[in-house]
Amino acid sequence: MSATRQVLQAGFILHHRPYSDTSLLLEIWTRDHGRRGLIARGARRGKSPLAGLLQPFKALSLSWTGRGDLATLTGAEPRGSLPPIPGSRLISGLYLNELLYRLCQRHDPHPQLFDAYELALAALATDADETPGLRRFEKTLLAEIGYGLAVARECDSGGPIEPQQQYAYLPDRGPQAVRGQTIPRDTIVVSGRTLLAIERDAFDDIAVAGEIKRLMRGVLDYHLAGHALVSRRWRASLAQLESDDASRKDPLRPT
Amino acid sequence: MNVVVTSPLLRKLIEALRCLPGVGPKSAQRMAFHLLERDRDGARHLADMLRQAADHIGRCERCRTFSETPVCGLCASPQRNMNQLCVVETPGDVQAIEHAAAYSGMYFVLGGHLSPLDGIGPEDLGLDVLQNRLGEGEVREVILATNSTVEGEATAHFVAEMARRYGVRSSRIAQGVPLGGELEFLDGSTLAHALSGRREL
Repeated sequence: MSATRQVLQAGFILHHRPYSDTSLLLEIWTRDHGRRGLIARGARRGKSPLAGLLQPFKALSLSWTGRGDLATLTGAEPRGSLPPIPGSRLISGLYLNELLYRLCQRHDPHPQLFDAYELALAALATDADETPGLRRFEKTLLAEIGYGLAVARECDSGGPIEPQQQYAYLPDRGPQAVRGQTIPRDTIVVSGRTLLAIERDAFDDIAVAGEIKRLMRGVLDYHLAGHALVSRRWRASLAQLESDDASRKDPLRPT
Repeated sequence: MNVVVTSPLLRKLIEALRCLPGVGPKSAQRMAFHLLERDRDGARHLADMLRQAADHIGRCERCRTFSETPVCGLCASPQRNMNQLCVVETPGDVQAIEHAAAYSGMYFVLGGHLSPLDGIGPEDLGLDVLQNRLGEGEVREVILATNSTVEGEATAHFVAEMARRYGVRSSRIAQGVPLGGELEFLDGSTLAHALSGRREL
């Protein structure tokens, strides 16, 4: 159980929703106290200075008081200045928030994952390509919640990964060389080159970016245990809109 | 509640009134007593109206705002400018803009904003209806009047992307210094927005 009073903790708002007439229910993500719920009383009242501050992706120092699952926010201040995320990438930021919300337990501190989150937000704001930053965050997330990717060795033989070899990635065991055996239909199959790129954090390798994405997605889905990510549907719809497709297919239809 | 309630029906009425926003046990009790003591006709009328509204008010097929006819009065009006479409989050926003601004175009009500953690997906905001609307070719400009929150901003960008796909121009309502506002007391991010969104005089 957390202490009664916390002062100026480095944190972010993951989610906010209205609560009663004037208050907000917050889900916050902090460096030293992990994810937790807070109630911000009066934050929606007319000209509350908090309304503009208590938004996702703003680096904040948060103070709260109270025990248990729902403490009361007592203060919020801006902390440093992260560059703002451009509007077209806000969906990707909301995707990071949904991952944290679904995969991290409340009250479980993950300081390293917190720092990775800050880096991922900065990357979303400034990087020319948003993909490497997202993949790097996903890798850290999996490692921090105890499901770290095992990409260094073949899982049966313990031998090194060969770049040209195809591997079936088994989320609970690791890469298994595909040598003609029958593999179940939903198995993630990637090349050794992809595994080596993940091992080296070479997420900007365009040649394997698609495979890395597929592997991460498969492994995350495995740990999400059937809980489909809504932000992924938004990202897919947006990607389809952006893919300057002249033919007027319905971009909202799930593919 | 500590008050002794002499009638079970009265207790149920007080309970029922509490479904209204901003109405706690005390206000609910005051409302109930007022209706019974001084305004029984008003109470009957209110009950009647509530039932009619709940049964007959649906969504306009064109803009998704509240309407008891398939197409709402605004969408059916020949006086409105069909080339402008203002996209808002709630029916309340339509009212606000109608009261405030000299806007004579059409509206589209999303009924929420892009919010994955609330489980709201692309199919929940009527975007297919909006897409059909854009596909008809009448709309020349989409005015994005979603809230100035992260979610509202994300929604605006999604709709703008959709509009671009149909070759429709989109614009975002301005953000900045409120009328009568003094810069000294403005919060930092609003001021930053006001500066970056400055316009020539």
